Amino acid sequence: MKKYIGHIQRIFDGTPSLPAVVMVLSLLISTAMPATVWAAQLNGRSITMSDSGPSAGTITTGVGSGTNVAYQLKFSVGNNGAVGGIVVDFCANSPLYFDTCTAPTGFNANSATTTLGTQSGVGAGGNFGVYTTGPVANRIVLTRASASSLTSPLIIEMGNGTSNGFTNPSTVGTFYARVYTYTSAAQAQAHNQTAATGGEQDFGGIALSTAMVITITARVQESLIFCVSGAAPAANCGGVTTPAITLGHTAGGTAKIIDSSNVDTGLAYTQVSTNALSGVVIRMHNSNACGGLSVDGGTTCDIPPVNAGGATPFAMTAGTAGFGMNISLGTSGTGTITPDGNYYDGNVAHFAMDSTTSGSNVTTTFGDNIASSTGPVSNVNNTLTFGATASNSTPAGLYSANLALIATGTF
Amino acid sequence: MLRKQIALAVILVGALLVVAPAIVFANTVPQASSSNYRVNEIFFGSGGNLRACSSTYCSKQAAGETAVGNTTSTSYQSNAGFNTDRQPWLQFTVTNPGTNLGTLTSTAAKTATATFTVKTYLSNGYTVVQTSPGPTNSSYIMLGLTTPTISSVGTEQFGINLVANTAPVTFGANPSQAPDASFSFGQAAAGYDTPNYFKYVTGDTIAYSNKSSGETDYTISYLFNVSNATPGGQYTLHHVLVATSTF
Repeated sequence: MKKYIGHIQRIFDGTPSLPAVVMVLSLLISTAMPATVWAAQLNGRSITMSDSGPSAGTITTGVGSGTNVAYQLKFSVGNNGAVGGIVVDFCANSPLYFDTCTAPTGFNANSATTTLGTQSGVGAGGNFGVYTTGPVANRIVLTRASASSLTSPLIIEMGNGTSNGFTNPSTVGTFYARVYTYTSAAQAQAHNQTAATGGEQDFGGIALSTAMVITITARVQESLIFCVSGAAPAANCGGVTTPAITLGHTAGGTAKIIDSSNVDTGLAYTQVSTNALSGVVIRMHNSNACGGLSVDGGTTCDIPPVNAGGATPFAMTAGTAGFGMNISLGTSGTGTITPDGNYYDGNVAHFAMDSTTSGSNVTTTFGDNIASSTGPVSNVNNTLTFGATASNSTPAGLYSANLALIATGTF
Repeated sequence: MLRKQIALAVILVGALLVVAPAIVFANTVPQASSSNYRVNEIFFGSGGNLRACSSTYCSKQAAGETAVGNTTSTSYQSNAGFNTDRQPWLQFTVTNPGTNLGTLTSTAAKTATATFTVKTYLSNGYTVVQTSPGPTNSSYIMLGLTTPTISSVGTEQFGINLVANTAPVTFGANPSQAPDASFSFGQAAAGYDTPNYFKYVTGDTIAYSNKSSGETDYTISYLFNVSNATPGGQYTLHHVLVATSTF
């Protein structure tokens, strides 16, 4: 050392001098300093979060919970050197790399489980992977086996935002990310927040923020508007008439009769509006236990359900005593009410009056499903066509049935 | 003689810094720059101190400032003033009123408001993106307006904007710059910037600034309309806003 200083002294005036001493000391100091040489600053750098909610709050799952949050890292390369590793430190106090880094409360990069999504700008070295072992909770280390230059902008999605990803800080407010690029994967894995470890390329600081989630609640009342009418209802069940249907035709007089010559029909209509989330079911319940038309409230049943109460639409034949119904596709309004297959096959001459299906037919307690929707509907009309015919041996009399139609919404 | 030596020492140290800056200052952020360095802060004025501390408090002091604020060109921007800082910064504050709108009906629109503020520093601006779905009722999500649309009572609608409205009622407010428009530059994004027109698309940017900005105060105006077919039940909106600043 003395010799070195002495040589420098001679450069000036041959005697020990302050400039010589300062110069030599400066050189020695600069030589001895850590080799933390960040060649350039990463520009256009940002981290976009999929969720800004703080973790450990009242929202525990999904967006707003601050869990399984995807962080999209983006930056433009600085010195364009080969990069084999990227380190991101998350700090509560500062984005500047010479400051100490205080881990944000509650934050976790979840390196063991966080997966990487779309990557672009990675260059010839290919995609990065997460270094799953070793990093502290507030750090994620991305490495790859082959180092190469990056292309701008580099974009890497960290976490999928649904089943894996970062846990946001549990506090509301600003926190910071410090992004470092390293020449090799091993150098990135050896990254130290306070001491140079070698292989450093570029650096950049980023500010992020969690924030409160705005919560607004409102209620929509459950509603069901259902009507049965002898005339097609207008919107909101307007213009309904009593659905008292007299089946038959006139034969030499004014009174309507049914006989073996015809299949006589009559119409009724239903209209449903409901906001039931899971839809509505319309059921039909026949007051006659036999399922057909009766002169004595069901004790006898001389006009039986068509097709012996079978559960499929059936071509009713004039002269073979029977009573049945079919239902049309829903019309008007919004939403769809679909006829049940027992009462609809697209042929308006086919009828059914299911009284045989165990546990669910027109004679059981809650009747038989004739139509339904899978969601809310509004002002949807369905036409019910009732048909009846008598045989030559059907006893004379006044035949009737009360058919209750029941709409049930599932909310 | 001593004065000469001191002068020479200063010159040598300065020369050393120019010749080998990456060695000497590699571990610090420079305050001035050459072709290899940049200026983060520089000070011209009659007085000031970026960090004046007692044992209990610290303050930033300034005197004689003649020009403050942000200046930009296509490629560059600068922040003038004594109290500038070299630390990138993003402040994003959301006010959560926890609003309960009560019962929605098909005969009247319901509205609500919430607020958020953003300011960012040493950045190329910011965006505020809404990442959450609309109001949900079990598995059902209320229909969000995908294009800016006026209120229509009896039709299921959910939307927001960031401006002052006069319909369906007078509510909301335009973005407010604090302290004024010479320091703050945030604005409502397209689709969310027209009075009486509302929109809600998850993933949309609803507010932004193209450069570092002082505080901009935003008011979100929420519009709810339901139809007879809007599924019954309780709807909850967790409106998640994500502010991202590019530095």
